[in-house]
Amino acid sequence: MNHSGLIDVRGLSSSYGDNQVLHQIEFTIVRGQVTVIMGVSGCGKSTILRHLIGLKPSQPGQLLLEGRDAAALGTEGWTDYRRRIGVLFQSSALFNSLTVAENVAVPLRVHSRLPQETIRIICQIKLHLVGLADYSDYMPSQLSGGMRKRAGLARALAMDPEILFVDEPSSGLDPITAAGLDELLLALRDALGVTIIVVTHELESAFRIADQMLVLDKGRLLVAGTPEEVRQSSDQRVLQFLRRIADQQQRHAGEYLAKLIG
Amino acid sequence: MRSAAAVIKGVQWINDQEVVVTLQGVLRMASVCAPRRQLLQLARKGPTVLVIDLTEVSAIDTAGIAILVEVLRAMHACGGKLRLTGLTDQVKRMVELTSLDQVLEVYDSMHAEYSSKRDDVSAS
Repeated sequence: MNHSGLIDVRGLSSSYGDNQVLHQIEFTIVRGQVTVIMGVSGCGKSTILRHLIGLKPSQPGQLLLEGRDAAALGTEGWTDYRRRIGVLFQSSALFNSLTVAENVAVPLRVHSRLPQETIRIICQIKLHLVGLADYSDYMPSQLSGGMRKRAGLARALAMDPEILFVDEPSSGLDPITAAGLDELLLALRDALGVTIIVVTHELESAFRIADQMLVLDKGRLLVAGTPEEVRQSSDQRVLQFLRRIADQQQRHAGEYLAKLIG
Repeated sequence: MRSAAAVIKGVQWINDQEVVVTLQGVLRMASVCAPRRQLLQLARKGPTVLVIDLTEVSAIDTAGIAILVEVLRAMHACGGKLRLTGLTDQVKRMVELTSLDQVLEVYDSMHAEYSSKRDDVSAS
């Protein structure tokens, strides 16, 4: 099998100010696969996503997009890359002043020269895919959190992206809708060959859709492999994550007292 | 990798009411405008049956699916029917993914009555 990297991450480190949140991360995104990035809240998975979509710059050599150094892509290179990707943000990031259908149409109006009627039909198809065919004229404020998430996904899919980035797709969704969303992601991979990168901490969803899994903790990559390889990991932190075992409080009494009394 | 843009390879009137259109190439967003215009012109001529042969269409995206829907609507407006035939694997998966197979007639292969009579004629 050809496992050439669509995206290669090599020794990626990242900080917010003095706070280093990623430490020497290395992995490869393979074309046509679903890669799931997992870990507890604050482990750095969304920061990786920000690097992969160009919202946070990477140092030279740390991020290769189809073999090209992301740090040297330039404005034109990034514009071309962004035309080929779709992103569903955790917040859905819908335009509140536009209807659901108008939100989905935005990338098509910006990036294509399709006739309005073709755009209207594409929007309706995308809304049908995510189960919102009857809500095209609704405003985002009239939708539930889960429906906004699905509307955001419809917009992310508007241009039939080659690469789809999805941040926490299942959050705010009921189990049935979440399962439907998982099925949709797999169908997109199979029907269109879409490469999908999902950031989540939902174990059930992750194991259902992943071809490759990455488990992060405190900004470090603990394990990368197939779902089966991750299940068989002997890393204690991975086992704790998979078994949903809570962290033990380990604060010294003196330190705690100091916090309390200020 | 760039693939050949979709073109209408042939238009064959079986009789004065039924027409078979052969598409060829990749029916994607960047290349749908020309075949869309030609297909809609053909549909507005009022055939009772328009068959689109997709045997030589290797891939389709949602924009390609959307123009098939536009042709379907134009056919309905004239009281006619749209049939798709010869769907390759990827096209079939897209048609199913978008539920298009629920709203129009899809056949695995060309009807015998058409395949025996048709000769490809270059689109004018």
